[in-house]
Amino acid sequence: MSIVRSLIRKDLVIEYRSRQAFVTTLFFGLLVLVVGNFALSVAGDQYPVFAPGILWISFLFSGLLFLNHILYIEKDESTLSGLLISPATPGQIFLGKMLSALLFLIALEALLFPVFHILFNFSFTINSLWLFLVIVFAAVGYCSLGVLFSTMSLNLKNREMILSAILFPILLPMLVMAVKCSIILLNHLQMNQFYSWLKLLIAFDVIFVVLSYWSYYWILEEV
Amino acid sequence: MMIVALYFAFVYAPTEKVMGAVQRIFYFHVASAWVGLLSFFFVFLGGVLYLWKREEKYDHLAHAAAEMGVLFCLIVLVTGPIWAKPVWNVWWTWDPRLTSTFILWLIYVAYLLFRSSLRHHPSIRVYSAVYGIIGFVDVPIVWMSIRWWRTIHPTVLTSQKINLDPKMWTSVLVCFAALLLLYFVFVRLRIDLERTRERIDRLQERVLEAQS
Repeated sequence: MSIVRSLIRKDLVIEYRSRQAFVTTLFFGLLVLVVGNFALSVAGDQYPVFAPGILWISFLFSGLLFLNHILYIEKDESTLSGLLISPATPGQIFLGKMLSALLFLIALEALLFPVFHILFNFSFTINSLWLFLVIVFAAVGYCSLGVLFSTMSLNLKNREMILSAILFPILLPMLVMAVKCSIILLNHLQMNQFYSWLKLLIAFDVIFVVLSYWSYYWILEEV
Repeated sequence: MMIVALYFAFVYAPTEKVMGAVQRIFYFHVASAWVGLLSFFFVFLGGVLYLWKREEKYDHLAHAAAEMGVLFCLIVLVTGPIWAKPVWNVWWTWDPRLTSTFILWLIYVAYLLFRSSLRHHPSIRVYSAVYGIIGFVDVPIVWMSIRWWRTIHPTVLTSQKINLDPKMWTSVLVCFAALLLLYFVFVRLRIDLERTRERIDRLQERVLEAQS
């Protein structure tokens, strides 16, 4: 586990030195929220109707930028080869990358979350805490598959394009679950359906974290 | 023999039909859906077997099955709206079956896109196998979540199984058998095509090496 901790610390330190990726992605996330508002608020200010969707579109696209970045930093100076000859197992490298991406994404969303509430006139209730929990769970699933696919597409010429093309179709069910949860929470509807969706989301996470962790071994053999 | 089987489906079905002409698409539509779904299972199987045995033929199977799956799924997605417009007066609805099939189709198109950007990459087979496995594991999750998604907004649609009396059921099964045979022929041809293509690539490399 200390290996995983060192890997996470390495990524955090690299980011801390320049802070470029985080700040840019944060700004991009904010922009998507604003674009969403202009794109969708055609029939008056029906925020509870379309705002949950905008939150998740912002989440998906900012996360995509991060997932590209987190592996791309290993391409410079071929540090990925360094990781491979280190005593870290493929599983540990995967966990290190995934948890770094997860920490970044959660930090990003923690900053954008209050802004989202303010821009779309939602009050801060207990449901907001539940919603943040949903964001955390969605981020886990997103980062696990994202790190796996990002590693696979690392050495391709059309890297960024192919990552979004192969990642989004697989993630569509997660998006469905997350948006459903958000609609229930932000509109203060009956909570019993919310719990079912949340359980489904957790199941999605478990399945794909395990699958990605296991597959990473095959992937790193080839890099 | 293949042509005979296909004509059998074309000729046999109309003699059973009692409803409007556009209904006949139904036989190909349903049969294609079953073939498409089966095909995606072959992508998964090919992926698993390739990672286990590392024999090229399993990767060829996965690749061919993905292409044919995309094709047959496309048939489903195109014949659906063609049938739906005169009957329901809409091209498309986001009802569970349509949406799930569409997402399935998207996953396997992504598989093919991924393969084409990995062309000449040494790890293409392993990466494709992993993606094929993940894609297929996602299938039941897609199906379940889309179905739950739609129970809150009930769709006002008639079921696609209108009234399957034995004659129509026979037609569906005949169509399915015919399309399945067609599918296996396509897959076989595609695998042979892929093998030939790779042999040509290898010969080209040897020629280039010999020249230098």
